[in-house]
Amino acid sequence: MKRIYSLIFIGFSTVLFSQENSFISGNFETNLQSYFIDSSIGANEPTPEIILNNAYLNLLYNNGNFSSGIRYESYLNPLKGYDSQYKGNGIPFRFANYNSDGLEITVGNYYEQFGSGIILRTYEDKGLGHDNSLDGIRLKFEPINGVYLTGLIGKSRTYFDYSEGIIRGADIEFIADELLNIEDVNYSLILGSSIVSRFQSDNNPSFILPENVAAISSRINFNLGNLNYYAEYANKINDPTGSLVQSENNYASGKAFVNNISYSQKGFGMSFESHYVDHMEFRSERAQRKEYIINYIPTLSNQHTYSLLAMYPCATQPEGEIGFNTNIFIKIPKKSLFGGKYGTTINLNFSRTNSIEGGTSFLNDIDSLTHESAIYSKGEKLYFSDFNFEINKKVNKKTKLNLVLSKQKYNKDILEGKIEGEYGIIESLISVADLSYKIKKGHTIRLELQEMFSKDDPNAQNPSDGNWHMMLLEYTVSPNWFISIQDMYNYGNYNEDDKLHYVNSSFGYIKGANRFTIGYGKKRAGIFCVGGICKTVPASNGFTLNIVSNF
Amino acid sequence: MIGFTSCDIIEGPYYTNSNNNNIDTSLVIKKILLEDFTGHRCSNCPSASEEIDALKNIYGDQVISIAIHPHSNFSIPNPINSNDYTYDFRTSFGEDLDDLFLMVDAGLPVGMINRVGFNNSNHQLGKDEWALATDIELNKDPVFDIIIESSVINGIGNVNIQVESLSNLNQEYKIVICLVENNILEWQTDENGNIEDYVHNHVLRCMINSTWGESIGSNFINGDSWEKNYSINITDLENYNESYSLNNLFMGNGNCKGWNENNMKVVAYIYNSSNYEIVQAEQNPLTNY
Repeated sequence: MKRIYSLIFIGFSTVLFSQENSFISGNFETNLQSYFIDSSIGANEPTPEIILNNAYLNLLYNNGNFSSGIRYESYLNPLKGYDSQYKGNGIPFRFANYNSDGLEITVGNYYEQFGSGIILRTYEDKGLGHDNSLDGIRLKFEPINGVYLTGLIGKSRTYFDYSEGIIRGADIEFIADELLNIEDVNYSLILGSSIVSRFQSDNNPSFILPENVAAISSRINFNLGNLNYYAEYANKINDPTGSLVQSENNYASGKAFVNNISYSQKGFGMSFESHYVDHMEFRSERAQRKEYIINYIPTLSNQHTYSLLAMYPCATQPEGEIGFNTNIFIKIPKKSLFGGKYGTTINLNFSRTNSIEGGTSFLNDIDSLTHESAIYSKGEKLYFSDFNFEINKKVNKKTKLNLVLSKQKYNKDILEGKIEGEYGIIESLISVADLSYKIKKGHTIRLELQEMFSKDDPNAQNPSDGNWHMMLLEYTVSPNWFISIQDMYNYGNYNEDDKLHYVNSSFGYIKGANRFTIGYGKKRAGIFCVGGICKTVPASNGFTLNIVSNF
Repeated sequence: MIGFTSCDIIEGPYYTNSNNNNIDTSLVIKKILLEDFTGHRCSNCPSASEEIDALKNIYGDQVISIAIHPHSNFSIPNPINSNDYTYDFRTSFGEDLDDLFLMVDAGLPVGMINRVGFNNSNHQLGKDEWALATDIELNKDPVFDIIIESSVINGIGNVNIQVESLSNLNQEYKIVICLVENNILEWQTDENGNIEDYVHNHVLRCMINSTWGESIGSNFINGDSWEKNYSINITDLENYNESYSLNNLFMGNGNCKGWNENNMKVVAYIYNSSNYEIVQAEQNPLTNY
């Protein structure tokens, strides 16, 4: 910790001898929640502390080419759904950075992504409780126009500690038009390549483990007018978990192939994303724990914000999946037959992911288990599919309407790590109507109505939760106040005792750069995902207080 | 930055037959305690048991394990008249341990090796981390020798524990005496589904001198000894668990009896009372000794 404080000192002492272009900025957030036992919703675990709190403060200092910053984090004790290893206070994030003649040097913590992130992406997400920032050294250099080099070495954060491995990485990117000094053309070409390697010593008494595990990727991004194409291929060498059991120690190499194409013009856009991944979970330490993961496979599904649409979310399976996601966006112009006075926006989305043929590639001394999955080979098992249609329309000066219809298939056994056959594939049809009406200047009322009709897998052992209603009413007095109440009602539960209402209300006050939100209600146990990375959230009943502040 | 392009592609065979067991058995040997937190409906838990078996294959007697079934969605039994999963493996001792070590929060299966890392919340180890932690712990020197003698017939008898210090120590240490049972045939979920007669091994039944045990002293000179005799009555111990299941546990059905003394072992371990770190462990069969 000594190192950290000296860095802060450097930061502040620079302020004291201030230069004109230096400034300090920051933001603060605290999330407090109280927990009561409510056995009707399954919140059975007592919370001896009654109140739990997660909070953090970011402090950033800037002075021309120099910047430095810290983040203080406090988990006393961590909110439910967050790992208990967060317990405590600390400054797990601090850095200093300067840029001089094309060389950028960062020491301390940093977040980095190579290409689409399939071999390296360190990031933080407070909602997920995820932060795998690297702590070490990073250099970025532009030797000539259009050539970008990155080199890094560091250890990855896990809670208030580091994981075992040392991560080394390098990336090179060529931007053709900058390199060749071409201007005013309607095409561009970017080529890139990266390598990431982890060192961890081999202490396994039974197996010979690789101490240096590398992943390599190459990418191309081609842009011609309105058309954009991105492809990336990655390969990771043998990376067994270090178990003592043969069937658990997989020496197969991993591979991933990402292909995205998009086209857009005024009033119309479409994109087609697809990928194939096999045994590509890359961790900062051998052992299979989610907090060690340092790469990121983007999810191939739309991220919904409406609660019933997001009830069964797609979670990426980095150990093996193949899928695609198509989006079509149409804006019907104003004053046309379907466009009405203000125009209409239509979004069409279809996504689907499946298993890969034969499952994750496997290699160890046992011949009967050894197999290799061929690239872009699709397996029979459906993991997730979502076909949805969204219309966004401004009806008149005061009224806006958003309608969504979605048909989803959700393989609960795979996506939530259950035993196959337990829940099977849950099929659901969800409709959402979101209507907002401006009563007078600054006063808006919004009504959300959602319905889910769900159908269980006929071969499953257990039923799902069945059908749901959801209603939300929100009143906003901009720019200072809002109040909302929502009810999720599981009227279709097979179990009479579980046909429950989950009522939540919240009240918010915004003053300048500060936002206060107070809430009360019951939350159901469920899955919460950001970009295909998910965590389970236990049921809870209690008050919440959220304060966000910027300066 | 260029030098790290090296990577280690390993060619099979991957298994090496290295044998760590060239230890002089005339000396006191270091033994570790692996506390495996598990549940009968936890589909990934049997793979953790396989890991324990593999550890024992390598380190033999030096690895002592206890399977703890703390209260979680994975351990709740079905009502007594159901067809499956009616056995209640949970105990008050397991609940005490989980209240302090918060193992369920970390997601089952999860374990501790000698409780190392508790002071910085690094004690919750996934099964893939056990081998490394075991290796590190076994490289430490033993600081105590524990001798267990027990004679139990028809559920009644006594357990005698002798401890000898092997170095000079000036911190408080506590000893815990447990009973564990092997070969319990009960339901278990694994990744393929339900198994009716899964063999549950080293299941924690009770801690004879309470979850946190008792002090053996705070100041030791090499050669100091401590000894204590415990009378045990299996029926009383079973009744204690039954009452706890019925009165204290969510959906507890009291179905936790049927202990077989011939399949039981006495496990004793000594821990540092300030950081809970276990420094030595020992086990012996309950009968026939």
